[in-house]
Amino acid sequence: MCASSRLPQAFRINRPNVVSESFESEVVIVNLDSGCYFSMLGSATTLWLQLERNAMTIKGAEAILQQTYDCTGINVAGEISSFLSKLFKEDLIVAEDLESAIDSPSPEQIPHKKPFEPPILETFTDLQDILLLDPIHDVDDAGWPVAASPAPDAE
Amino acid sequence: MPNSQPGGISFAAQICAATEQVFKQHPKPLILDLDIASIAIRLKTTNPNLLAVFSSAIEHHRAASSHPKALIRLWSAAEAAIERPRMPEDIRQRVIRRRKDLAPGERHLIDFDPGGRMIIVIDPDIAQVNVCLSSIDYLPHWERAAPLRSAINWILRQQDIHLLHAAAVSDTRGGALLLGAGGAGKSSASLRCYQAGMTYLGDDLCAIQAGAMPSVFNVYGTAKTVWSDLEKFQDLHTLLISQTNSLKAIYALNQAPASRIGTSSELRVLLLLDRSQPAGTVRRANPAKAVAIAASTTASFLPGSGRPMLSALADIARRLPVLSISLGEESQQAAALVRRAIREPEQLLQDCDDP
Repeated sequence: MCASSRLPQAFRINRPNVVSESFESEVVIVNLDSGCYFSMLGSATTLWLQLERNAMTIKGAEAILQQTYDCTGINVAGEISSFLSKLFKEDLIVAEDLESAIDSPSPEQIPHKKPFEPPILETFTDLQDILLLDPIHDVDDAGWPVAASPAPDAE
Repeated sequence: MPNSQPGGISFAAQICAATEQVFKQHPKPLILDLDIASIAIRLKTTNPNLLAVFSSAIEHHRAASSHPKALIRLWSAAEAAIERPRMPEDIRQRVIRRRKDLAPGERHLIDFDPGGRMIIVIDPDIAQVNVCLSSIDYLPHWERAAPLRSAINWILRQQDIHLLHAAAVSDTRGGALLLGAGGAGKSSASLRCYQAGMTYLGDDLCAIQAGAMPSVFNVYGTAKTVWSDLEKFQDLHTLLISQTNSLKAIYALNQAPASRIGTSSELRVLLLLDRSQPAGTVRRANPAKAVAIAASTTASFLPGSGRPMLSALADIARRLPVLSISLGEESQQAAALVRRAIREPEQLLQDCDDP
């Protein structure tokens, strides 16, 4: 069984827990639930910016890369499968109904396709401990954010 | 509905009703009118002790009575001798799970500290925030240094101003945001700049606005350091307001006779603090990383921050220089670097490349 067959066939950004902003050649993504932040580079930015507009199918993701990049000799399906697996693992995307997803992007005339750049997801967990423990580094024994023993009349 | 009680009024509505009852019993409540980031906010409470504790970090924003854009009503169940409505477990769990977004009620927003000491119910329709404590004796300690932050964040957000986990200082040419995760040295850096004569805008939380002219606003007049840093800030000892058994030393900078707390400043530069380099090292920083650090730490403790705050910060970072900087331990040197970064960031970078 290939990896892509284990992935949901359609997916969307896990909003509102996941927020993102694009910079010149990079997209920054923050998962508000896990406290991780991510950087996307290469063709990952193309896929993510498309995902910000619409849910997408795996077939649609392949089509977008084929349309934007010179994919000669590239195992596009394999690249996408590996990339999407990481996104699912980090809860950046979630499964979506096939009917709601785009699987054939509107044809765009790109005179000179760019050389293929693998979709890269860099994961930064250096803040995670701080975030999940105490974002303003002010833990007291009454417990933030852990619900420790409540005050006498607390719920 | 997560906010509904079996056969009864929603939890949020119960808190609002209890608040009404408390203030009906006190026809002449204590009132503090504030002007924070040019937004008129009225704080009402029934208890002078509550007012003293909650206002100490923000009273430098005291303003003449005006037409407030938002009202915060503050009371304590113990002092008011009113039983506080019991929070249903499903709401409690929901708020804990979704700290990053205020739990939606029927029309209210709810936030609370997980110790159950403080419940905040926002009624967006009438811009009213009801803050209900169990007792002033069980006040979460961070409320002394940075009180009412989720309430103030919500109020500011209505005007596209966003609280940010960052320090900020300024001089006559403009302001600098000092960014970094917890422990990066934001508080120390801002206090060193303050010692060296710069204007203080915040050590841990300040407010930003993108817009045509990116700006930073002061919200709190306090600063915190670890106790082991006490000697470095001896000139501020008269401003210490925390007990020695507190986790942090808290300085009430707004109590200083000639306080240099600014209200706002046009932003000129974003500085990502980097203690790993020798003092004086300045490099161009990746704006995406600076934004990610500040946005993710902010979103984690300010419910509802998320996308609008990230967008505002990203907008600012795209337009202003973002430098990685090591300020060192000496106040005059730190302030001199920050001042240069505000005035001539490109020249500072060049000089550091070619010393």
